[in-house]
Amino acid sequence: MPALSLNDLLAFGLCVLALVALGMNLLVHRKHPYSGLRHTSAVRSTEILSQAAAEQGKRLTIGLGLDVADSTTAMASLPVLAALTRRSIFTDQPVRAASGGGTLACLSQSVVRGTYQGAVTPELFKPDYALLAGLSPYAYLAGLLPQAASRANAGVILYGPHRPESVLAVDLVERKGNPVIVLTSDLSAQAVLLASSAQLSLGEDFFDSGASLEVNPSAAAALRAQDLLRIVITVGLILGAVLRLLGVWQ
Amino acid sequence: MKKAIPILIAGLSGLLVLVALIWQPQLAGWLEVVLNWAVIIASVAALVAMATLLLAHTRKIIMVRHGFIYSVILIGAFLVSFVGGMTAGVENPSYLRWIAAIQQPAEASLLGLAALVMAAAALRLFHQRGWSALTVSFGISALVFLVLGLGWLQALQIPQLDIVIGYLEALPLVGMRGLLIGMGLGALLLGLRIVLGLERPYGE
Repeated sequence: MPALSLNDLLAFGLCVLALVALGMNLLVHRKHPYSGLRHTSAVRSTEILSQAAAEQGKRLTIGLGLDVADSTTAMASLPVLAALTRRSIFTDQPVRAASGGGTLACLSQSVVRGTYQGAVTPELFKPDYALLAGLSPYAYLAGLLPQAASRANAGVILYGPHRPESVLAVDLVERKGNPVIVLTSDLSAQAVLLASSAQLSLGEDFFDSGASLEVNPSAAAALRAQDLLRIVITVGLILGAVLRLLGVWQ
Repeated sequence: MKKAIPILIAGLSGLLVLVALIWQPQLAGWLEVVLNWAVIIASVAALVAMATLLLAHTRKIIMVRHGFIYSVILIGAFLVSFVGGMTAGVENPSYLRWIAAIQQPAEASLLGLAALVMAAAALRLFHQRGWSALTVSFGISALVFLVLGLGWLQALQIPQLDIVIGYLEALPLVGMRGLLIGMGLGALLLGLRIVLGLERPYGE
């Protein structure tokens, strides 16, 4: 068995550390998983927007971004889709989701259908509630634009890996006078959308949805573990820089 | 039991990929097999998603709902591309040229439009978000990197200035790495939660 390289060992160590931190936080905070937890304002705003949509008798459109094959971070948006769908089942206009790929479209369809079944109302589910918008990034954008511009919308949420071109959809929604919330894992898109009036989440806040909406205790434990690991990595980076500066580690 | 099987499959395949990425020489064969399965499943998922989309638009046409004409265009374009691909073959140069002749101008025009909207949004930034540390630093950095991107300062060939420019050009990379570490940690923990069955993005 050949020896592992330093990078492999570090990756393995980080995985084990993440696992330990996750388990530890799940155990320690099992009674009050969400107490004292920081909330991401953009995620909380999705909840407020969902309530506003229900009051206006309008719907929310969620753009789930590019496919899972393009970016695994697409998975992070599905718990929010489930949470917002659950809250809109008995409203006039349930949540609509648009996906940028086949796998994500199937997953979103499965999530929405499962949510309706979980609420014992499978007869209210329609396949139109979670559809494919396009199979490539531009096709997705072209499919998203008419949905974002719909007069039936109370607002639009772009949650998932979106590219900088999504500024077109954001601009369109703004022109319609509707609010738009963007949570994306793409750093270039975050930088571009900073210039728009969209409510935006920066950095890794994208992964905080389950914890901020208080729908999954493991998400809260993951957020705490993430903070812990960030401290460990920061200390490691500083230590590495100091050691290299002193010539101890080449 | 019905719920446990998908969790078990998702967990085991996720764990195998994770372990195979670290012990690549030993598990490369298995990794290839699992990734091939993933590609096949993703292709089937794309077909299912397309079929659902076509059914939704067909229903829209039958019920003559508002905007049904766009559904007619979508189904028409799909059928023409599908029949063309099936008869001529998807590798046929004429078929590929024909698809590219439609797709590339459409994509280029969307990109051009996006560039214009981005420029307009940057100009409206201070009006919309007000004067804050974030907007001011955003404006200054945009201006600095715009000037650096022009290459005029580099053309002066002053050694001291080149050192300063080198440092400035490294700054976005440093910031990006910081953000990427956070994103990486988030993705790692999300992956672990899926592998352990604590997060089930594939349904309730």
